Amino acid sequence: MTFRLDTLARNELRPNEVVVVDWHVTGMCCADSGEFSVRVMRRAKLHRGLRAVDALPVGAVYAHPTAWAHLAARDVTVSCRRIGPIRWFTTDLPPDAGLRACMGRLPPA
Amino acid sequence: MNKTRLRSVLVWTVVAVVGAVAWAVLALSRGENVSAVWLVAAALGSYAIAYRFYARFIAKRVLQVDDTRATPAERLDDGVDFQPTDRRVLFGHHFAAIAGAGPLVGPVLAAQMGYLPGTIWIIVGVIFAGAVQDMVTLFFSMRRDGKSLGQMARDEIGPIGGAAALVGVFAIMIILLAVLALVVVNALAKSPWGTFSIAMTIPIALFMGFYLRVVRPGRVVETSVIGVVLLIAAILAGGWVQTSAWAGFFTLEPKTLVLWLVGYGFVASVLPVWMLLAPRDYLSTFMKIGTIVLLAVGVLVTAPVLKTEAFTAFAFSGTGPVFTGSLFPFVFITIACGALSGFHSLIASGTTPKLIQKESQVRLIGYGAMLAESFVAIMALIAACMLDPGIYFAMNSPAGVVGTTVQTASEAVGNLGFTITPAELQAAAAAVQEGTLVARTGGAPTFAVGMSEIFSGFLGGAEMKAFWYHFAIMFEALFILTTVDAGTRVGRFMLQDGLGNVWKPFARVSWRPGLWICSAAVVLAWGYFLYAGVSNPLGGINQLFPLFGIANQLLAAIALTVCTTLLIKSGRVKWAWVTGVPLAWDVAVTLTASWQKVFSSDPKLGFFAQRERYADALAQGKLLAPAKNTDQMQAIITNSTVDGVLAAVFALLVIIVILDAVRVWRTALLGPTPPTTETPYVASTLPEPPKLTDLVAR
Repeated sequence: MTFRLDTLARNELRPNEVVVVDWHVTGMCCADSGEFSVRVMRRAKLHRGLRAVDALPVGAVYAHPTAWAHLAARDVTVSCRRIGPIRWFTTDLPPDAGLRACMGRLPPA
Repeated sequence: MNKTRLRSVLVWTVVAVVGAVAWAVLALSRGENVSAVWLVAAALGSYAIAYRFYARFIAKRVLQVDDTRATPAERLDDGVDFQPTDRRVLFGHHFAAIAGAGPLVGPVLAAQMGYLPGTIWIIVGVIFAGAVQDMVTLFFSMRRDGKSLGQMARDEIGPIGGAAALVGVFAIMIILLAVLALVVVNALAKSPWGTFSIAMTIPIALFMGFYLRVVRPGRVVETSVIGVVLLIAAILAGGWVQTSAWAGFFTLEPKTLVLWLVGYGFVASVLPVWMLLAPRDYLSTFMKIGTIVLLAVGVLVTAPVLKTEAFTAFAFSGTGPVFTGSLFPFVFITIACGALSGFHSLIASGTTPKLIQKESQVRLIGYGAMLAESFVAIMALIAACMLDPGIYFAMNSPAGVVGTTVQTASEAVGNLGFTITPAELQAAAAAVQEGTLVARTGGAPTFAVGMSEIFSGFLGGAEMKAFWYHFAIMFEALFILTTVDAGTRVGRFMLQDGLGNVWKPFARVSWRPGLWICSAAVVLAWGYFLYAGVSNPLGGINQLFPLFGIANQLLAAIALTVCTTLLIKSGRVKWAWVTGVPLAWDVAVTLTASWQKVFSSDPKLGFFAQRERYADALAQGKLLAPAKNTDQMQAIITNSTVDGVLAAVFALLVIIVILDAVRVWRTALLGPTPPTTETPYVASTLPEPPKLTDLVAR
């Protein structure tokens, strides 16, 4: 698994920041699953639950352990859009990627 | 015999004796007051014995777990970024994942047959079927890099069985969402306090989402504490709203609530998860574990007496007002989560196998977490059975049976053989500050009344009953609203995948119009069943819950078929009975229930017989109770037809999967061992974690 930041993302990511691939648990009766989200966080605010993952540039991406488990065999590209002052980091993962991964229905990259 | 062994034998003998005595008390008591503590003792004693001996036997002899073999979490670890998850943390994750609203509702409904049928099924079912299914599915998924149940069905049985499994999951999802949403509607209808409290969870969750993402990233516990405080404030404020000028605004009819829920389901399922769904789920997880622990303490402290009989007459006549049908198969259909639930196989073949540290931990996580869920179901059963049967039946019978006033309910319950006066019904409603408790079907209000009785017995006294009632309603609704959102998302992508075979653009999962169209289609599908349930004069829960139970057990049949297939294909034929026997039982239950729901000539039981009866009457220009006009007659005819077709389709899916699997079993038994998709052995380099008993002793 490697997270690659494209040119837009590299340009928008500040030196003291990292990209975080988070995991959100979602309930489903008595069987639940979850979903990914991506955001930036100041390096100083990283908490111990997040772990550095293989990334280009090195050390630019941290992930929640469960998110890592679902994306272990997959390369992901991180991009960024800017709308005025707001930076919007995105990945090339499809919508519902977390739920799809939990159900074994995540299409190949 | 050394000292340790002697101590072990003594301890397990005591546990076995306590469990046996508790079972004997439950089995032999008739017409006497039985304390709920005996139920707890029977459950805990049986769980302990099952975990120590049966689960160990399955792990060591049947599955032959091998801690020298690296798990996917270890093998896929790149040595830098990821460590396999501690088993105590993973147990918490797995338990939080499998224990939702399901085990709270089914046992309450099954209480119409008495406390014993439900108790026996919950305890025996979990030991020999439910926990076995979860553990074996988890093991085989772990040996296949965490493959999902659907993938394993396709790989190990074939494309036909795999496709049937997928269609089954989609259909189940729609029925599940409709039934759970119906539980919320029935709990909130005409209850301004409840509606206000639940409505407030939306801005609270949104606030938590932004707080967690923007203000204090990663501070989950801090955010959850703030959320819990705000939730309690919302419940307290609900009491004030009920007596204020705002009451009218939050007093909603069931059909209005349906529209709100459908709209909510659509919006919530297209919003980013971190905004609304995830923070609410954090909240519900904390509340879930805390409340269940508190409930267990409450039962032990207050030692409530079970007022329901061991077996009511409805267990044998099959004419109960809560749901129609005899003890076999309908108790086993109604109580799914807590005894045997197909949904668990989704999570046991989802996240958990990818995080497990050592193979032997499938026992603690797969088997142990399911035992804990079963205990939740026992708590729910106690909450229902400690209520006066008169109140129980007045609450859980549809309006078509008990009417809408305390007078009609009192009379109808009297006709059922129980006694409750209008004044008592009025007093029960007043105690929880509700307008009425009559025909509050769905299980949630009953569980809430039982829970408020237990909690107020040791926390705050009778004055706090109304608070605890609304706390319980919110506690249940929190799970369910999260389910509505997540389930809609799952249904959406399954539909996208299916439609992608017909028209290619749908297969592009990032195609926004496809995403919105499929979301709307899924919401409308469960919304249809929800609306039909709310407007059905025969009572929505009465009609839909058996269908939901059949669907859930169908999924269990698929999971057990996959497990049995894998046992046979992996050279463990002599142990195939471990999953084969629960499979045979589950198939007998599911197909009998489907057969009766489709072919029974009793209009109260068979969907098509019901349809015929009302269609004939309508053709002759007659109205049959409880329909009051031709529109209601037509609604019953349409609902019966749709429900009957669905019951038949579910049965057909089970048969297809099993026949396809039998073909594979035959090939495996007669010819050379067919290939499986198990990943090759890789030696583990992770050190053995210390025993849990050692950790406690430190």
